[in-house]
Amino acid sequence: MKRVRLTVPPRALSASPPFAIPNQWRPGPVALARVEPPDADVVAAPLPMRGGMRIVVYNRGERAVEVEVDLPD
Amino acid sequence: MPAVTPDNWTDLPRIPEPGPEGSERTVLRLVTAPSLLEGAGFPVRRPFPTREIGFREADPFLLLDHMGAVQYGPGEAKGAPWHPHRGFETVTYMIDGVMRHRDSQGGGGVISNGDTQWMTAGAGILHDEMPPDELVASGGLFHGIQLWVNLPRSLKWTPPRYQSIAASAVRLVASARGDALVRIIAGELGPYRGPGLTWTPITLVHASLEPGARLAVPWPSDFNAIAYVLAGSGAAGPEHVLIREGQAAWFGAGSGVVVTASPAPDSPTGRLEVLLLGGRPIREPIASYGPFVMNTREEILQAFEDYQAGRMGTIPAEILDPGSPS
Repeated sequence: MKRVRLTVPPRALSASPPFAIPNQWRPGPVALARVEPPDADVVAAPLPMRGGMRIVVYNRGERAVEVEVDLPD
Repeated sequence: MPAVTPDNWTDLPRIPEPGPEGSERTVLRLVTAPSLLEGAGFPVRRPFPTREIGFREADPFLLLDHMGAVQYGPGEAKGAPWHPHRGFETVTYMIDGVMRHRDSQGGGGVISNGDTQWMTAGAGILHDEMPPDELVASGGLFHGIQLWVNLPRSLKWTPPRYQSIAASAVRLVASARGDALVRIIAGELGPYRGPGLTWTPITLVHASLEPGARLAVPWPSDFNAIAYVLAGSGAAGPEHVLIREGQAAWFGAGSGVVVTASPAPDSPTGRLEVLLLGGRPIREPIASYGPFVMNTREEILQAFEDYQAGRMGTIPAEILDPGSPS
């Protein structure tokens, strides 16, 4: 696992660096390792982006949020 | 290159060359497609969107990926596991090799050697695009393209649909001199029409030019026009701009497109293999984020919410658990 930190502006999306996946990979729920502030309204999902699969986080709130997410090796 | 290729082209109908000189479109931009990895790590070359051919120039197209040609060893073949799309169409044309598609509505199929799969994502769908297990196990040649075609605002919420276009259904014609084979996958080329049904008026053609051949075709003046070289080398436009494998030429205005093959195209087939594509620009705002292409940022955020909540569909249960009764 590789932990990365993302800053997500208000009402915006932020994407992690791409990570490698095998052919058998399937999308599933993404657990965020840390959210600051803890009560921030965020959701996350894996999305194919330029260069490969990335974890994308959406901040529904009106203040910037910091999150940490674990990427597969 | 087994994409449908008859032994004899001379019996095919000929495309009349366009009218007077001066109507041929000149090449305004030339791009060498950058390479990148997609999906589970398969290599593609992407001539657009790029700095040279951006959304405005490509309109109504959004993206072109040239997959391969690559000779996979055993265990090496990779695909694009389950992922969503919304707001446009994906067109996958397999030149060599095999790809299997499955989607969240229970649809799918296998395309190979000249077949095309046309998926209208519209309101949203999940799908996967994978090499079959046999190809992964044995390895093999893999060569194709995937083209993204935008949908206008009025059609972005159309229900998803699939078209499977067999290689045998592709309309085959020849250049005026009979020295180029032209496969019309979709749209019109002169008096001939390809089998693909398009929401947006476009033309998509794969042509094979013999060494030194000239292909001059009429092209609707309200379409844009792009030539992308799949293999070999040649020239584009009346000014003979040199083009080679992995390069795209974007043409200016006019009513005809011309490409010529080098005397020695230096490709696996011994010919210049080129895609000609164009369409009527949609000219609407584009908001793009990964697999979603909408008109506004708010619609992108909504697409992400809908995907995250499972509202674009889910992976069919029998795929998640192959042992379960169907």
